[in-house]
Formats: sequence, structure tokens, C-alpha cells
Amino acid sequence: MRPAENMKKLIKNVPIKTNAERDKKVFDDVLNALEKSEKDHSAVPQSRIWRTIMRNRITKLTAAVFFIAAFVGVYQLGGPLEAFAHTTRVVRTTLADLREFASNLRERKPDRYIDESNLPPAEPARPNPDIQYTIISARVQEFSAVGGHYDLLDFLETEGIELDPAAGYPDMSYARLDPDKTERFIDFALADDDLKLRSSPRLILQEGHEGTVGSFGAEDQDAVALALAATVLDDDGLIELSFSFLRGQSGFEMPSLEIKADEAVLFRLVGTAENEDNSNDEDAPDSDSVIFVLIRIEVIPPG
Amino acid sequence: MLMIEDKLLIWRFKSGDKAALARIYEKYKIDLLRIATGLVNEMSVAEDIVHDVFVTFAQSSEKLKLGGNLKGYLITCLANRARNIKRAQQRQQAISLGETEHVIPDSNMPERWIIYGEELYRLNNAMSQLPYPQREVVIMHLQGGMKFKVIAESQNVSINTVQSRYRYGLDKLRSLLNGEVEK
Repeated sequence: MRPAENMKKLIKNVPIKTNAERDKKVFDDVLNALEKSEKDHSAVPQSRIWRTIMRNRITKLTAAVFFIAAFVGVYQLGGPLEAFAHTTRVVRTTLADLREFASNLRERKPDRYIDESNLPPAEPARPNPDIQYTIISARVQEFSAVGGHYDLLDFLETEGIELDPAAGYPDMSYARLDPDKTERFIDFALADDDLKLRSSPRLILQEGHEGTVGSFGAEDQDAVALALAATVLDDDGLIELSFSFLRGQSGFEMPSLEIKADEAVLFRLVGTAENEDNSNDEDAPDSDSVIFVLIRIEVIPPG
Repeated sequence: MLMIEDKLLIWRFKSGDKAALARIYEKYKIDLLRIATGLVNEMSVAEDIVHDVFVTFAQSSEKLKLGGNLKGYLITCLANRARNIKRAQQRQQAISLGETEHVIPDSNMPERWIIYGEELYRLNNAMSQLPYPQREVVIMHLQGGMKFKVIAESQNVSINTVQSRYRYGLDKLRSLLNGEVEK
């Protein structure tokens, strides 16, 4: 590594530790400030929160994650809306809020993303002729791994697929796959008993814009949301992708990953599947759970 | 940066969820302390600034925009406070002529929030020798991960000025830290 890079690395990663007692004291001050502020202001009415959310395009998308996750949860569980109100730590909103949001969403034209979770694979989406931007289509396949998934590990080794840890996120690793490896991975994953296809949404978004999808696991606990933005870097099909995953309470970010247009990206997310309501249940899921997310990009030029 | 987790945290925080505030604190306290020590070079002042930034943040849920960049917001708040303190220090120094800038005079006292490491000490010593505008750009870009355009907006200067400050700052740091980074 060149000295200049070493220096940037030193500046970026210079280690720093904190005193745990002081940490607690400072956070107590922060909490006191919050409580004082709450006392000073009367509670914000729920309707006002929703008006705030629906006024802003980005917040609408954020809220859309909740709704999509909820929708997929219903679809997979086949249960009523009430069934999952208590099943996730991610959707910490009341049922009334969710209904209000859902009714707002129905009135909204889905112009920046299309969610096709759990629907059969569709033909590539046709670009909207009114939009003169490059369209990015991202096919996402999300698999949950059961047990040790040793066959998959063998497969990855045989194929020479090495998952590199993502900077700053030890629980996330990734690999670029060429088209042949991508096809073989999909064939293997769909046939392997240790992998279960949780969802296969497709995101259609304009270049440079952000799309969001989310899903619940079959065990109704493990919610995953993905936000994606893509930029075409050159005419040879080099694409810069920005990923952001949310799994339970953990976020994973990859702000800039360059891939060729015909490559796919495979992510491995390790998480803790916590079961709040059944913490003493012996049948609760194992503490470590692994999700693989394969993302294939298709660039549809304007016109 | 998409930072979907941050958007969720802001949304939950604005809805009154204290756990979201705890997560924001845990997630960004180290980054903010690192940046603050680089900017002001005095541990106690850096700790006070970060403390104040979080306290003010906790009181500002009403004003926060859901679509904003949380980390950028916190760093900008911190940089503004640090800049004000530097200005006040400069005024003070102008009054008491001959007094030089403090360079980390505090030792590792048990009640300190930051536990100082040797690397942090050396880096911040070098940082303290940069003119403040250069120091701020280098720290906000490299440690804060902020884009030049965003830094330019926060400092109310042109992007060319910010890039020049970054280049000159890095050159000077390179010469100051030459022996260490080539290891």
C-alpha cells in the first residue's frame, strides 16, 4: 500500500475507546434532555406524524418498507393483519398507523419501485416512455440458510467464490459473481434443502434514484429490508451500486460497489434471530441465522 | 449513502422511541468523539462538544427531517460547535499574547470519557499543526465520510476551495507523519 493510502487509512481508522461509566453518564444526560423536551412539548398527535411522513418523498419510501414488509408478512403467513402486529421488532407502529399508511399508499402511484415479492419471475419491465432516464432493474433473491448449510459452503469453495467481509460490518460479506457462476448458484440454491427462498422481489428504479423492498421470514420474526441505488459509470456497462440492508435492529451499508453489468452480487448477512415474546421457548430459532441475498442488475437504456 | 437503518432510527426516534435514541448514541458516539478530538485537540473540550451535540439532538426530534442524513447532520452540528469554540479560543489568545495552542494537555484521567491511545495522540498532534480550515476539511471528509460538496455547503465556501484545503492539508500531514505512515 502506498504511503498516501496508509495515511488516509490511519486518519480514518485511528482507534478510540471510551470509558463505560462515562458513556452511561453521558447517555443519562441525553435521556434526561429528551424527557425534559417531551415534558415541554405536548405529545405530537399521530395524525401529524403521518402527515409529516406523507409530505416527504423519501420518508414515504421509508414508510413503504414497513408496509411492504407487512404485506409480504401477511402473504407468507396467510394470517390476518393483527397476526403480525406483535411479531416483529422492526415494525414498531400501531395497527391503526399501519392501516392509515396503507390507505395512503394505495392512492399513490408506484413510480419509483415495483415490489413483486413472492410472485413468479416476470419478464424484464418495459421502460416508461415518458421517462428519459436509464432504468435499472434489480432482481433480488433472498434465501434463508438452515443449520450449517455445509453443502452450500462446499459449493462456494468448489466454484472459487470467496465472500469478502464488508468494511465496517463484520456480519456482512459479499462476492461478485460472473454470469455462469450466478446461474449455477441459483440452480444450486433452489435445489438445496438447506436454503429456502424467502422472497424474490424485483426493483425497477431510475438511475441515481433509490428503491426499497422488504420481507419477513417464514418464522415471522426476521424482517429484512433492502434499499438500492445504481449509477451507470460508462458505456462498457460498469455500474456503481449502493446497498443498504436493514435486518432486525442491525443496519449494513455498502455505499459504493462497482460491478460489470452482467455480474451479480451475492451478500451473506449473519444475524441474531431473537424471539422476544417466546424468550423461554425451547423451540425458539437458533441464535445465529444466515441470509443470502443475490442481486442481478439489468440496465435498460432510455428510449 | 442510503442508510436505511438511520432513516428507520430517525422515524422511530421522532415517534418517541428511546431505544432508537440509544442506538443512535451507540452507533455514532465513537465517530463523533474521534472527529471532535481531531478538530479541537483538547480532550475535555472534545468530550463536552459531543455531549452537547447529543443532548441538543435529543431535544430536537420535532425539528429533525426524516429524509435527512443522520450522520452528516450530527457531524455538521459538531463541526459548527467546534468552529465556534475555536473562534472563541482565538479571541482569547489574541488577548493573552504569546500563548500557544493547546495540544492535548489532558492525560488519561480515570474520569475521562475518551481513553486515549498512542496513535490517536500522534495523529491529533499532527492535525493540530494544520490551519483550522484544512484540518476541518480533512477530518470531515476522511473521518466523517462527507462529500466535498456537502462540506462546501456547510462551510459556505466553494467546492474548489474545499478541495484545495483538502489537498494542502493532506500534503502537510504527509510530511508531518512521514516516518509513521511509510512503515
